[in-house]
Amino acid sequence: MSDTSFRNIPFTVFRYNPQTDATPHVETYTVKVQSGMTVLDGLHQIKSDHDASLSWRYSCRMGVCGSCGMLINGRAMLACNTQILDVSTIAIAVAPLPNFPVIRDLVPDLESMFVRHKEIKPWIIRKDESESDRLDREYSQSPEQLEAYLQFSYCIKCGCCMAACPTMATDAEYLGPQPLAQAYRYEADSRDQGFEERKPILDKDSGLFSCHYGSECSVVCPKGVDPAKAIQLMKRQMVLDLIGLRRKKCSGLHHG
Amino acid sequence: MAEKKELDRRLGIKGWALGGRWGFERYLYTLHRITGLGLVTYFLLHILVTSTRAFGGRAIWDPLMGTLGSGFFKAGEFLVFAGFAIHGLNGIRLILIELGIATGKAIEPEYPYPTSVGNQRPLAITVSILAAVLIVLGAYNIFIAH
Amino acid sequence: MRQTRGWFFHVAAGLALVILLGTHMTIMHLDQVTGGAGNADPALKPVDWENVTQRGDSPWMALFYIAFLGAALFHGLFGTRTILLETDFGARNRKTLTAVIVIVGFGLFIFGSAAAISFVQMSQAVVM
Repeated sequence: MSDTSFRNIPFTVFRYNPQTDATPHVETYTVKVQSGMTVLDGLHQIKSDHDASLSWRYSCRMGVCGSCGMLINGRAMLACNTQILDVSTIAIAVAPLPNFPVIRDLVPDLESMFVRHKEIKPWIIRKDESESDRLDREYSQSPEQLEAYLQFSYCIKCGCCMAACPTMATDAEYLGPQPLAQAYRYEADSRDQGFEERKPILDKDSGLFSCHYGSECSVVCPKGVDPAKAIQLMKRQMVLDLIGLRRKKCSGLHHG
Repeated sequence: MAEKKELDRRLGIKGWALGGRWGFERYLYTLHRITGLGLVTYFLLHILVTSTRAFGGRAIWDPLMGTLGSGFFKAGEFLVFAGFAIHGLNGIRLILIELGIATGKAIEPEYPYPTSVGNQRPLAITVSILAAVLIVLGAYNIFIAH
Repeated sequence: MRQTRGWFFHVAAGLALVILLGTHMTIMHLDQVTGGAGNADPALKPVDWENVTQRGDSPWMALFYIAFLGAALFHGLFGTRTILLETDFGARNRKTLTAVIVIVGFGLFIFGSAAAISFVQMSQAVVM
């Protein structure tokens, strides 16, 4: 039988309203917690029972949209994916993802991540652009070729990795784990021919090699994307290219 | 349109160690930096100190080494040795990781997702144990044998 | 290949240091554990004048010290620059910081190399 009993757990929540607050503060609310409740459920309870002004971002409630990333007891997680009693039976502390500016309460501004993600050209680049007009053809890909990048394509852009990264903590210009991992997602794709286009972006100051394997990005990733792994594999390609040993076999167009 | 007013929440240098509940390897990132900065600071002074033997001969060298062999400097010497052990061995780990050797290849992620952090964890533990052994040997050599 | 090339040489110097600094540390700080490896008189300290001049009695030692000096200066100063450039202070003073590090690096390399060469000459005179 499942445990249906309730227990009161204090939620210490980061509060900041740019229109009224000069500095942020924390407020503590008592949440009636039942087994199976997520941190997102707890926040809803606070909003309905204690303070309707509490703000956070969420949408899907099932770990797919990547909206509700926040710092829960010191670790970047999705509120919808995290059960309260798995984190603590004593106390919960909720704050917005660090390393991003805060719009209000638990709502981070993720724009800087989206800008950098776009900067690394996250799409399949072909040398012959006219190929996209040949709709009767397709790129074949073996299961092994698919597996080379599939793991990294599950990124939902929640920003948890960026919040956990120690280089992001100090370097305002650093590309960050999310965009860098996506650069490798395309590099590992047998259909992509964009290495030369992405190379100068990755090789700039505060680029790929500003990652020093703090590895926390992979620890916190809620989708198992393992950005730290992707980044190191991208580094390997850059080093092989530097010493003239990089080889990549790209798929060609085939009749569909 | 009203100007967007946002709160800067970049953790800054304290974020190398504080600001969250981090894993072992993230603290190794910070330790690598601290030991590296410590070693380079010592090394710059070391060049100046050891060069005195060429320019000043034994008359300068003997009293200088007498002073630097005293308790306070011995503790410093031990810290430098410990920094070398940690930074050197962890550096080898980082090279193996950054060349994609110790991270493993892409996998199909299945919950609970295994990560490259787990792949390199035996290496992290091995270099930590080796560093600890070297530090103990260094401590014996510096504080007991001499 | 700005960052990649910098990382490559940083790592190459680091690997050289594993051997060079490892040898240096073994001789200087593990002498009692190894039974006096690299020291002419194991009963004395590695920094005692007799041991220092015996070690210095070879052009190969000067070459060792110069290679060691170059690798350590490059690895150490490049690493310091990397850390500082990843802070707001470093980002604001990028060119000045790089210039100071290059000047300090070359200055100490020339000074240290001159010391290593003249010490070998001095040691050979003492030992002979």
